[in-house]
Amino acid sequence: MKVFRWAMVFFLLSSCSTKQITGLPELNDVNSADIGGRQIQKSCEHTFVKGQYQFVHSIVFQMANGHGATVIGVTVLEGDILKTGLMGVEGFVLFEAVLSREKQLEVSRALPPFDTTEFASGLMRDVQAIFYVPTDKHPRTGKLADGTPVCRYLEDNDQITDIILNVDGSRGINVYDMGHKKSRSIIVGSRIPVDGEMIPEALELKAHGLQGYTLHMTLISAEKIDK
Amino acid sequence: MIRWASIVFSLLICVSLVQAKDIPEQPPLRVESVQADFTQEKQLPILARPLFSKGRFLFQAPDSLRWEYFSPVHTVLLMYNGGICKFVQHGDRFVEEQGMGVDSMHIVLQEITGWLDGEITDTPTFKAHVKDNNLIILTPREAALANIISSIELKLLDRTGLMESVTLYEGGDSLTRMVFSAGILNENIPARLFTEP
Repeated sequence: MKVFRWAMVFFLLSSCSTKQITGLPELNDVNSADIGGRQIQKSCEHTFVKGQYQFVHSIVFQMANGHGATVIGVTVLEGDILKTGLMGVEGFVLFEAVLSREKQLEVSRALPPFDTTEFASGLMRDVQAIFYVPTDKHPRTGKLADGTPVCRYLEDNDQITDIILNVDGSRGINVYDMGHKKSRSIIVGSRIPVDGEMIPEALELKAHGLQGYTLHMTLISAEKIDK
Repeated sequence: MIRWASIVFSLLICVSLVQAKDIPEQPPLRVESVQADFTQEKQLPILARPLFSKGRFLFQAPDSLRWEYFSPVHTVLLMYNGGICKFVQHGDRFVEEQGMGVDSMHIVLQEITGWLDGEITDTPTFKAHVKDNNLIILTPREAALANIISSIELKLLDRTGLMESVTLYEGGDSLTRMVFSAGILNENIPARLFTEP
């Protein structure tokens, strides 16, 4: 009986742990110099828009404790310059910042609770993860155990970003810290054409960890601004 | 943040009531209710193109309010019988969001009452300067608020006593302009519009 009880405990623990895989998954390499590898890399890069755009999203922000709010998010991509703003639905600006070409962050407006350095840098990191292709020019290409194609980018700070090309056409972006623990996961929903680029209609970003949160982003408008 | 946001919000409500105030050469008019559509334009230095919103505003004296945005996000803010709540449409249903506390509600009511009493020049929050009869400029009394809102311009429609627009300058090149249309004064508004999203 005692053995049975321990077996049950072990079974429950092991089944729980399989649901919480947050480490870096194994990748079966597909040579990026081969046709297959090049195709995977090209598809990964197509996850992100090229050119200069202004995006407006409604963002449902949800904290791990269940609290949340709806805000309007503005993202302006001007080449290497990233501008972002958050405002209440009534139009009152809560946060406004620009990340320069030299990666200098200039916050022009930040009202509580958005007035901390951590929030500003975290938000810009999230926005970059969503809208910018990682800087590694030579990602590994390969497939996960279930055959899903993946590009793996290694950043200068040892952060790893996986772009996952799902069979149903949706894309996933997983970011791992230097300890290979998943820090962000992004689901890129179905995409619509806007001025020659495919723009996601919906995005979901999940920040993992004790102070985790989820952003549900729904596209309100996308405008090309370098016509 | 909530307090200042609510002051701005209450101001936007209150300025709509100016339409019924005793502007020079017109007899004072008691405000029982106000209804108006609005288009809101938002300009920010980071924006390549301005953002536009549309909505409708309802007020019933002494303290009932419905402030509704139809686009880009359908939200409804309701004040009724001392309570305040905000709803956001998700799919085909409205979900209540927490945000404004009791303190904020008191500020809102205080501002509304002041304006209904015709105390344009005497609100605890703003100094008013009347310009050309049809233009009123409000500036914050407190430095802390002035860091967030530099001034507000209320433009009245000539002679009609109706509000034409409200422009809220947030400093720098940031502004929010609300242009009102189809304004109706003192017509009965069903009570359920202040209690249901």
